[in-house]
Amino acid sequence: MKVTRYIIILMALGITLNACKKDFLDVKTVDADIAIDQLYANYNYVQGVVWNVYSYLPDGFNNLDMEAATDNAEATNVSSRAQIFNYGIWNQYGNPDDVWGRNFDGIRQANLYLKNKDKADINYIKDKITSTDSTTYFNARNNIKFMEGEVLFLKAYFYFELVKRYGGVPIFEEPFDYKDKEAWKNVPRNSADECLQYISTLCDKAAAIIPTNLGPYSWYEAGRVTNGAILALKSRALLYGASPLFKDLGSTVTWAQAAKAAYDVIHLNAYSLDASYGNLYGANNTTSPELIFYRRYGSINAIEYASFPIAFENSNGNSVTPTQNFVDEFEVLEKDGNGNITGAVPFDWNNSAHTANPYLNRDPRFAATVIYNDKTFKNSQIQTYTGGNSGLPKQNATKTGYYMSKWVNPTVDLINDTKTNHAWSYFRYGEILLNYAEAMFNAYGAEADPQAYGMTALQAINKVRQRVNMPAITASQLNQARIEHERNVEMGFENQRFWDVRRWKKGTVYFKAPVNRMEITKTGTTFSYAVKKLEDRSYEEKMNLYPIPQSEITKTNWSQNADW
Amino acid sequence: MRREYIILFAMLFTFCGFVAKAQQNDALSKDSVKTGKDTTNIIHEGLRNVESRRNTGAVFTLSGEELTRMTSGNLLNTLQGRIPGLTVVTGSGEPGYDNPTFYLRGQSSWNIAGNRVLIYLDGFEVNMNAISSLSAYEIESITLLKDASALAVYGLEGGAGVLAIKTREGAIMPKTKITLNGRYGVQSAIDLPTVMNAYDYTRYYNQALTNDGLPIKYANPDLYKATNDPFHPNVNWYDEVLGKTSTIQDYNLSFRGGNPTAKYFVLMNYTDFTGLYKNADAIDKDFGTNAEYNKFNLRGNVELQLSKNLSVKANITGITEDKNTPAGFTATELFNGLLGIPASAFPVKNPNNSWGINSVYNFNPVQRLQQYGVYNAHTRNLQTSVRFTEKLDAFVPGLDLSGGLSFSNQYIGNYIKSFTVPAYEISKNEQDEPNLDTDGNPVYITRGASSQGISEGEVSHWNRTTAQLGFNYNRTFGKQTFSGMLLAKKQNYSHNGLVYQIRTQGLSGNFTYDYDKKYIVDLSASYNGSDDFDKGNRYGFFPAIGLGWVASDEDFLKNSSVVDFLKIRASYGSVGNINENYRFLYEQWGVGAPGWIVGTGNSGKGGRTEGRIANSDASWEKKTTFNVGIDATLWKNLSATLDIFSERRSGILEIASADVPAYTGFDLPILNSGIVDNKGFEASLNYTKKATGFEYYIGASAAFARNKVIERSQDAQPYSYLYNTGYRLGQMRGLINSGFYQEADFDANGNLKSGVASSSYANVKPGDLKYADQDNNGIINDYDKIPIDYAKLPEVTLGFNLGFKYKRFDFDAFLQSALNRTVSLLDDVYIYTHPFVDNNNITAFSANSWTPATAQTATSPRLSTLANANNNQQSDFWLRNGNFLKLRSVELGYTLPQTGALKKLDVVRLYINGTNLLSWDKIDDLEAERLSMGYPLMKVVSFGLRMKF
Repeated sequence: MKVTRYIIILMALGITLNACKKDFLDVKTVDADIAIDQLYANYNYVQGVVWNVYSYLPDGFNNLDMEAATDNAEATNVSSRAQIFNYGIWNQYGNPDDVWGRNFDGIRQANLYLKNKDKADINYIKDKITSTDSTTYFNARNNIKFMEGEVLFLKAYFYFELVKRYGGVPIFEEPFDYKDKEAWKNVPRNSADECLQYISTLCDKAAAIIPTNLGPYSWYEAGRVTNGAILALKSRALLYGASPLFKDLGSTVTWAQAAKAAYDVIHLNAYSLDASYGNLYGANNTTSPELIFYRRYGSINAIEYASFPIAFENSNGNSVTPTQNFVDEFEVLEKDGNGNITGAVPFDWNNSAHTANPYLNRDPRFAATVIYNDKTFKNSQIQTYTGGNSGLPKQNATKTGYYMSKWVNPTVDLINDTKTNHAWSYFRYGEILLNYAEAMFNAYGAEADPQAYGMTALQAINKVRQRVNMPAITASQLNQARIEHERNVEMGFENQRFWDVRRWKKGTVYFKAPVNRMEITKTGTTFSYAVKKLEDRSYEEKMNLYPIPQSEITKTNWSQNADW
Repeated sequence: MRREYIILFAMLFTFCGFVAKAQQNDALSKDSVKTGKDTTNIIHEGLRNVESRRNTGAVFTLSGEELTRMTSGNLLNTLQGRIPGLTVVTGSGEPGYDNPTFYLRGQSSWNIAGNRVLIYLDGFEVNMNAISSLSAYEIESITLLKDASALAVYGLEGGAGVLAIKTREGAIMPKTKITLNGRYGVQSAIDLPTVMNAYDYTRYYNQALTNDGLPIKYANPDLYKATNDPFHPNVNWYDEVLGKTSTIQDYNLSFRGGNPTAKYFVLMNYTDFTGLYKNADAIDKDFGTNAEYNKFNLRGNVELQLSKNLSVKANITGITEDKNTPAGFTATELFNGLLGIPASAFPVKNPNNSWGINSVYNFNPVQRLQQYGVYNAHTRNLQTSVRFTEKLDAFVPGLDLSGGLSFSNQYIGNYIKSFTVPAYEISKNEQDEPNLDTDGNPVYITRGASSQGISEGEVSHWNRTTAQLGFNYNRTFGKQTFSGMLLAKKQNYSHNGLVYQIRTQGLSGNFTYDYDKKYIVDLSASYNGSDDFDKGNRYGFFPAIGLGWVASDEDFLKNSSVVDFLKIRASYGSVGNINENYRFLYEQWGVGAPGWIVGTGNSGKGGRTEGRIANSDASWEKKTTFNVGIDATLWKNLSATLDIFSERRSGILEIASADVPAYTGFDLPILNSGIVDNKGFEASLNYTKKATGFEYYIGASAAFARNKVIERSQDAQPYSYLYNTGYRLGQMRGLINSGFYQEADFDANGNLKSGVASSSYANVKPGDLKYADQDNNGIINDYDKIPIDYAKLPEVTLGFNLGFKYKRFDFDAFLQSALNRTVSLLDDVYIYTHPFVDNNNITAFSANSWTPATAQTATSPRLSTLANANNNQQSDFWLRNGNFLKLRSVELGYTLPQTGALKKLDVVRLYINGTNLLSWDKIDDLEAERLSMGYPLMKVVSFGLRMKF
């Protein structure tokens, strides 16, 4: 009896200490996660890796508020980050548009892919081929090939996002190994010129991979990088590179090179101006022949919640509204007795014909961009006059007297929370023509075409005007100011102004001046209009470039950008 | 792992060898073998039991009886201030959802879960929830283990301290003791915030609009003075929803007894605890309910002596809890609503008897309470442990083998009956009068729709199983006593949301030697491992040494009339801390990542990327503690304990980004790189005087712990005060308020005059908060935020206890105080302190806001309906001294004389008890612990009866 008991106890001891053959602490006996080498070997996972690299592209609609950090707009919400810019209180310790880390993260993701790209294994598809049809395999093979082009483009894009903000940044060909601290510890900055050249080279490499005609590759989904997108990025990068700000930083890019880059896109003959300017911002813009590269958002309504005039219930007061400065940019059409357009002149507050009815006969892009007093929107008269349904002093009403209509889809119903498709355009043909016009003008003048591109600066700018039935300008009228004007009325609220003004080094002109608002008083059935100052703006020359984040300066001992 | 087993067995054999040798050396003193059942002075420390005289560690034991002094539905809340060194942070007052948070000696890691105090019940680890529903009457003692000497046997789990709870057991006694306890209490809320009435709300709202340069909204605030005008209501939402009092009742019956072969303790308990909501079932009990909590406990602790050497002990407790709460809201939502919905917003019911509502608030608390259904959560708790002890005196005198198994689990399921019904907003015109239809009736706007639904499912579950097996040894040879234990332990823990079970296993042991009960050496250690770490890094060795000297036994003190007992203790050692939130850090996997939308159908494609970089060296956080203590009894009646400690938590897990440039793009690994030091003391003094017919006692305790961050990764900052290093964890930081911007600070155009610091947060106006510009750059921004005062967790906890017994009366009172505590009205009570913004209500806080007329005397910023980021910065304007003193319990009892019919009863005692009756703090209108947010804390007056027979 007693012996038995000890045996039981000893058995219990054995069971406790050695209960199972496997180590009790090995809870993860099956690899239920994806091993790193699998990530790059498995064809499906590799595709996911590439999608992830895409995700680091700028979130266009979430950056719409940055337009309020330009003279074009004012954020209704006082705590908008744009105000930090407008007060001039951003610096290396705090920058509301701090995308330093985000873009370098994207670059690392791109480099990780590029380093491991040859590991992708599609042989299993080959093995599955049972008949003569090897389409699936060839598609996969091409897809693998194209991915490299896509990622090279994306990497170039991330670099451009950095260079346009910070000037020269370090160029990385390879992803760093965390363990190799010596390699990543003290990397110097490359010059702005090296970066611009590098972006150009990456674009060239990518363009050599992605074919100009994607027709045979119908599986290659709309929204992925195209040859046109690559050339468009190069066009924008070189245009910036040839601009005064980057010239000062030592850029060797010439206007002629920038013109050639824009021509390369035009020369594809793949894109054309959309007959409808409004279509570029609507639910079907991805089918427009003008859009070159865009980000699909699917069906959303956040823009409408923020931007609908507050007459509409549930509009949340986060609107970014056009300033009077922006509205004044739109020309006034002159018409003869039959209503035919005879010309266009700048809007003039000293012209009583203009001021009597300031929104009449404006450049059609005005109505496509701005909701103004008495305009019909969603079958309602929008009243931005004092006391009107969408005007001050109502809470969250526009401070400027206008609302933005670009990107805003009036079919959305905020009460029933309906949504529509949106896609943010990164590059469109209209921009390319204006890039071309600016580069050609600066390289060769208004009417010269020494490279026989088949289009002069003047022709390019007039093409853009012609699409919206604006009268052509003459060679004598074409100058830098005209180009700046045309870019702004054409591409306002498309995240261009913030950067254009900087590269032109005109910040102290455009961004330092106060922004104005429109105060409309309704008396009986008539409106009277008065331009009032809305806000002083603060800008210094050094702000043409962002400061490198201080945390990075401390870790690298780099020298900070000038005057920061 | 094989290696670990080899070490294990090597240790085992060494131990056995030692025992065998000791046995050889001493054949004489066979009769001095201790039975190990000298229970009078045994401290139950979870995994080990220590004779108090031989204890060298910092421990504090509270008897179960102390816990019965407070009337609370949650056992954990009765620990408030009773154990020096245990900081109890009070949770909500909502029945059934009222667990506090425990900290040992303050905080020593910024990873919150790294401060989680381990709880042991009868020698096995359990979850906090398993304790909260126990009855105070089944608790024998609660011991807090504080230093390395006491915690070393817990190894890598002991870093945040252990609370070892022992339930009552049977005993050999001539007849079964039956005890009946009952109490019935009436609870009421402590310090509900004061909100303004409709008239004040509307006129201040108009003032705020005027300040904002906007037209007024309420044409005639005087209309809201009316008491019964549905178009201009004046609703005190607190009064509409909350009753004045609620009840708590608690009854239990226990049997305790035993004979040499069987000992038992059996307890049955019923607790019923209701909430403050009134008229919840006015429509039907299916549609609304008061908050109700009730539970049944059953405990059976049985010990059987199966033979001369073998005994078996089974502790089994089963608890079911039913919690009913209204389904229309969570308590937080409701109380935010009661506070945040203005009195003028809408009537409870419209003139046509439909529910009132307003699109801005869209939350009619009364409607939600009475109409939105019932949320029922049902909890089943089962904790069982079985333990055997086999005396091996036949082989080695003084040795026994014991082992046990424990299952501890809980399941909470819910069953929700939910309904919605529309409410109707009265349409109003610009004159703030209702729009009338052609019949002259008000125009209603329908809000919401009718629906009904039912859902059920699991809220949570957890299950913990533990197996233990080991040897205990205790033997005295003349003046020398050797004791020790060696314990092998395996534990497996799983809960909802956890993919991989949390497992630990290892060996713990201790060896205690004393000479003449005067000089004590205690060595303890554990060698244990966790599945959280990489092979090769799983196991750690955690040793500690404790030394004790009973100086009062030395000749020079032996005859002292002052010193009756004096022991000086010191200990040093280290323990570890594993953290459920940081497991498997040594692995890197491919993980899901953001993707891209492509194709004409806008199909979202998921991305993938490399996950966080692995840290193959990832390990536990380690705590090394040095503790010196004194236990003394002076003048017979005064007992004192003092512990002074200095500890360092190292290897604190963090993402160490300070040295890694962001351009690398790394998803950085989590490293064991942080260090926090923590120093302090605990002291307690008790004086007891017994005289015939009169007995009194008075006691005080104090605990102090101050931590300091020694190393913590942080990006470069322009000024040294912006670093965390050198400051306490949770250090309050903010701007220094220097009054308000005054009209004199602005020029005629409303722009700030030069020389006046501008705000980076907003365009300031007169009446906004003005701050000191620490770096003198003319702009107030985050770099002007400096460390201010203390953290929210108090550094000092004090307890005062006094009582007496006089004839048949007895009295006891306990006060608790927390000091060196700073709270932020911005962080914790935003709704209370920020009128109108985000459609908030206005409260007593804003009664004296800035206007040009009150510029010099104002106590809050100018009223505004707009968000004001300048005023919403953390600053000393919002910080408050969070110190408080609370009368936690007071009790007066009367024991009936044993005459007449009562003769057969041993004891019949009647008492009246007050819990949380009084408090003193420095915060106007709000209760200091929870700042009156969420479900309020309650004070209780209860009447009780205790019968023993």
